[in-house]
Amino acid sequence: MFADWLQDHQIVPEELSADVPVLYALGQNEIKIQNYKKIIQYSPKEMVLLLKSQRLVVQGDHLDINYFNADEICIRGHIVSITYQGG
Amino acid sequence: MEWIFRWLRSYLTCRLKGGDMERFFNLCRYQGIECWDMSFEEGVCRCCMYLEDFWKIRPFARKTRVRVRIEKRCGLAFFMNFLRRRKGWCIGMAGCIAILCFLSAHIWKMEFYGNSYYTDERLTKYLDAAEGISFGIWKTKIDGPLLEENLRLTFPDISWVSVRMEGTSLIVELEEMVKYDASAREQVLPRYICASEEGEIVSMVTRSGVPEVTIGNTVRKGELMIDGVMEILDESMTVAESIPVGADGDIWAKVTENYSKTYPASQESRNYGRAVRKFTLSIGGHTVTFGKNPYENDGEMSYDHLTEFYNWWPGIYVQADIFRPYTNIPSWTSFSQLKSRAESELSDLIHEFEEKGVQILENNVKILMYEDRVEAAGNFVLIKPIGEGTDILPEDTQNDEIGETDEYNGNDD
Repeated sequence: MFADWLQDHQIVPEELSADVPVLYALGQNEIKIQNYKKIIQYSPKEMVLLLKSQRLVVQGDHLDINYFNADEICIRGHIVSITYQGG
Repeated sequence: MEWIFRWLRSYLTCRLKGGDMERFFNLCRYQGIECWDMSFEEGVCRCCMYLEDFWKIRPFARKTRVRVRIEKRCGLAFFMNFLRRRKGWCIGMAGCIAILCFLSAHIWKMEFYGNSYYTDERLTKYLDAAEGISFGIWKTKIDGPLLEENLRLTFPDISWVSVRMEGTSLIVELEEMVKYDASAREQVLPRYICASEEGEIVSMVTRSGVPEVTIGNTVRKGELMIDGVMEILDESMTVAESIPVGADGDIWAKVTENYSKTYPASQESRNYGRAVRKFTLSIGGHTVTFGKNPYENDGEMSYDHLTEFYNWWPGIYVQADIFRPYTNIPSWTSFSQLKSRAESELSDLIHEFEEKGVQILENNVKILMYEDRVEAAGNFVLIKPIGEGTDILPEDTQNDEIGETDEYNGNDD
């Protein structure tokens, strides 16, 4: 209810108040994902991240995690597809 | 910029193998442990993490059965460890930096630009005596604007001055007021043109003045050929007015020039021995000498003495004295070599005449070979300019003109 109120009055940005994932893609080589929950699979061909209510599958070649911290994860490599699963 | 902060916090490059790696990373993330520069190859993952975080991952590694190995250590903490083991290196480095800072904070060179009347030495002396600015002064003690003002006030001929410091150099740029000298710009013609040597005149062009000789005349050395004072005669043929116009003209004459050179076959050459060096290091007013002259007290030994100076720094120089003993030994040069040398020098002289525009009418020089020498002797008959500008007549010519008035100055003194 409080979250709805914050969202309605645009006091806090929508991505924070709604707790939705935010993706920044830099061409085909880098993608930054905020508000993810955990890493489910980590391999050079496929990365699977758990979001709030679905999974995000990043497929490509030579995929690596450039960095991760509590807020954000940055994936680098040749990204071929970004897919949402479930939800 | 980020790498500086990472280096200051210190970090490790770890090698992770086996177990549930994804779970390991998730646990790290929940604990706020940041990982970066991760790469995954054949079941082995490499990642970087801060040193302080490394101590927190042990329970996670045990829980997820991931084996962690340190591959590389970077950062200030490890560098401090490195320094702690090398105290001498640290002291040397600190000393080097201290010396560098100390030397950089002083003036070691003074450069002056744009000065012609006031010499570098005079300005340096003034800066030293009046302003207290000498080599090795602290940079902070120099007040540029004040120095500029003092220079302008002390040297009134300086119209503009700029003082700046570049590195350890003090650069003084200035402009001097140039006094206009109108007389210097006007070409002053000489009063007389006299013969520089004896000869027969073959060509004569008078541009200014009164010619005293004509083509075909034979002149002796020092004889007046063009007079730079024009005399205006009145009806009674006496000098009414003398106008100094200056003497100018081209006079070419046929002259005979003798040539004689002897090339002896026997000569002396020097056979040098081993050189001995003596070094003198001078710092300020103090000198230290290394080595000595071994031939100083040996009256029989002849030696060459060479001195070289190496100015390392203002006030610091090294003087190197080199003593080379030698003995004179007689040597003989073959006649063919002497003859070729004589021919070569003669052809050089002829080439020199041609370059100067001197015409060679006759070349009567012969190369003669004797028992002990080669001689090149004879004469040249040349056509060359012989006019020589002068304001005073040579003595033997003056005697002929005793009693004449000094027309050039227009008085009877």
